[in-house]
Amino acid sequence: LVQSCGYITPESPVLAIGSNFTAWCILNESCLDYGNIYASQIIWKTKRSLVPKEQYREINRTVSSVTFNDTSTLATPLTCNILADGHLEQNIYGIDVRLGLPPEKPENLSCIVHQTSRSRFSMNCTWNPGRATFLDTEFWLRTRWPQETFNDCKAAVVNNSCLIPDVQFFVNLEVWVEAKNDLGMMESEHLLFDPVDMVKPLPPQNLSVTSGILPTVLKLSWENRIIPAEMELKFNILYKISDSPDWMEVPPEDTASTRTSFTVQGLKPYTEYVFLLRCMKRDGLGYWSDWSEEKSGVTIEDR
Amino acid sequence: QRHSQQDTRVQYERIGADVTMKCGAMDWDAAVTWTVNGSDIDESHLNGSYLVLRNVHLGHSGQYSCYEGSSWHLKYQTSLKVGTPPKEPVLMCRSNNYPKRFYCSWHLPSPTYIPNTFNISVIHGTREMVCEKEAVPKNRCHIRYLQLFSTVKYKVTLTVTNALGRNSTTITFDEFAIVKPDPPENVVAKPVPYSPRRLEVRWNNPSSWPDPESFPLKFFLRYRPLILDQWQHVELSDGTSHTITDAYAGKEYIIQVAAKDNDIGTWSDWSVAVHATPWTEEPKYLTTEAQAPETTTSSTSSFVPPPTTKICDQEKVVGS
Amino acid sequence: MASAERPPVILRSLDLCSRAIRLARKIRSDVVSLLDSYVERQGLDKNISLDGVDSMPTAAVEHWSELTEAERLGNNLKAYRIFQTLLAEVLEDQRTHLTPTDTNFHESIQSVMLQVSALASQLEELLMLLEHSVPAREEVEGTADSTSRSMFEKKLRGLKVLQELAQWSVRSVKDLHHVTKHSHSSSTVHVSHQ
Repeated sequence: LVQSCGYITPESPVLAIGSNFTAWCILNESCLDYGNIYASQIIWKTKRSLVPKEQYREINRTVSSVTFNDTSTLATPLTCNILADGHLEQNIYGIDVRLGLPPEKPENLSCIVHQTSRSRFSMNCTWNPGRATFLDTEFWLRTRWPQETFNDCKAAVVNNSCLIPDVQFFVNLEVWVEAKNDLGMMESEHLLFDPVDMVKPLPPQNLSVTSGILPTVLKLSWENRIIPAEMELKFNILYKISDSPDWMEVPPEDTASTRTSFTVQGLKPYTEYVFLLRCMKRDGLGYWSDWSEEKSGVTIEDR
Repeated sequence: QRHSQQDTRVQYERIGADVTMKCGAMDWDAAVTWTVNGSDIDESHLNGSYLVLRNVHLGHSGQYSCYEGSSWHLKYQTSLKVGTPPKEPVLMCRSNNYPKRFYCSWHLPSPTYIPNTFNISVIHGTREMVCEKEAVPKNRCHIRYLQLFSTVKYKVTLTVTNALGRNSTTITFDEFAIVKPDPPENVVAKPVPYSPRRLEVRWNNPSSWPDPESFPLKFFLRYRPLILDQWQHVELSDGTSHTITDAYAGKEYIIQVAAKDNDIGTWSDWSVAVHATPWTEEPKYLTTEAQAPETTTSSTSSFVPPPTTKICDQEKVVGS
Repeated sequence: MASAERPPVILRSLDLCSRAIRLARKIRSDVVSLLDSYVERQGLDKNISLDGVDSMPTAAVEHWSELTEAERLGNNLKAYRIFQTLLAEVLEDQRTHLTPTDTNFHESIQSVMLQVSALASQLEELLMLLEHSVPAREEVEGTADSTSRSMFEKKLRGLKVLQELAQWSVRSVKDLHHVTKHSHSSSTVHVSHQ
């Protein structure tokens, strides 16, 4: 009987931690006459503990309000109750209160384009989601061209990354993150870049090492897995004597253009060497590929 | 005295044919004399007054004359030319100055030994195009592009005719397929001072390529030391120079360049080969004390170990 | 000439041209491989005659070297707008009738569609940057009666769309190089007059 005698507004609010909050319990007129209950009899509770009377205010016969200056301590549920006949506590209504924080501005948005096959590229963007909000907060990665908006990418549960399965090159892409929960929405900085400048290519494959006719030389050959129409490459070559811990590097300026072979010189005769190779976009934009598989070769004897 | 006034007739016969010549209107049993290029022909070749040449070959070509026995009046004269009907001609079309023109050139797979006439027709869709003949070389003509970027194929038919027969070849091709530049020109390779493993190569676009800015070329460079057979290659999508950075120190290199339109057609032939040897340090006059300890076991002192950076100082684990 | 001295509009148009060239080249590379998979999936011969298939923006052009910059870019833009519609039609035909379950194939068509629309917008931006009027959008012919075509006609039409697009992408690269060449020379003239 008593429970249908009123309600609280707002209904299941979401409140920012540390903000102030007022709720109203509104009794039905019908109950007043019939149930002999009045707003002055209302007592407010958070969870099971009584709210201090000073926070109440009787608005009129049917309405009582309660105010919290700092919701940090506000437990849930918040209930509106009545002392029927002066001693029997009856619940009129209750609401669940969710406390949390609005999302912060996502920071450090950065993207990397992974080559997934010969001419397919996916883009993974990561960002710093900011502080915990204690609320269901969605992060959306949004991308668009001047004349085309793409399907948004909803971040995984961890909330700080999103994968776009297929990106196009040579068109400036605008990328940003939107964080949204019941307390607000924040946008990251908008990045504007050509995905071709963010590529981490697949490493060169089929690396082979052949000895030449000079005892101090080994020739490396390999296949690049990105087509020239997409990008020119530069390379990094490391090598070491197979049982030595010390890697040496071919001077980067010697491998600074697209190629599929290189002759390493100045080696010790009749010695096994191990080689590693990686590549990246020639103008230095983007990321180095992973290292290729290791390959070894032996220089010929010095006759 | 032989009277030899007669209109010279030309008679074409196939290699291997049997040829019988009558002595003009003379009867079969008339007494006659046959000559070839002025020399009498042996009686064994006569059948009555008819001259019979079996299984003729090129050597049979010549001026044949028949004189009446007693008066030595020239009764018949012909220039016999032995040859073959034309085989299917080999026809090739190519554009080395796209997008201005393309040319078609042809040759016969084997000689016919007798004069041939060539007729070429170039059809593009429904339009017949003019093939402007050249004085030299004779077996080539040029066609001006009237339309570019067309998906309609070109159809070129070459018909060759001579006295013994006729043959023809037809090829069809897409506009882009025949684009093949001339090789790059003025290829120059030079050592790079103080860089024992570098060679700087420069070249020019082929002068026949009319608009390298609107139709940029890309290049393929191949190089190898003379001591090796295997080439190394590098493809260059812009610019007309490249620095080889992994040349064998002190070894003479042979270098060639090829060109291709960046988007269409096929690679040119290789350019003229140039040779160059990387820079090597002048051998110093070494006194016994000043002899620098050998850092590498190789024999020549001018061999400079690679300017390597010991990577382990920077990154402990590689490839992680 | 240092780029700093060049007027920003010229620099911006050169950058846009360079990007559009690479995009057109990428489109060509993608369309050429799409053509291979298209003929294989439709069971067609690559050299089948398509003379009967019309209402297509054909790349063929006469007096190409005499086209003005505005004509060059304008013709390109009109063509790619039409190709956007035609490619959408091809994709619809493939999804609904010809290869309904081949989603990878559809994705590669869609990828080309996306790039074509990007190129169209780059061309539009370039026209405005170089202060030329942008051609108005026109109703694309030939799409209205697409439902009445037979399956075989749909296959042929798709092939023709891709062939002409491959051809157009080459033309675009050359047109854009031509525009770049003249942007270079006009910026040299511009600077020398300052």
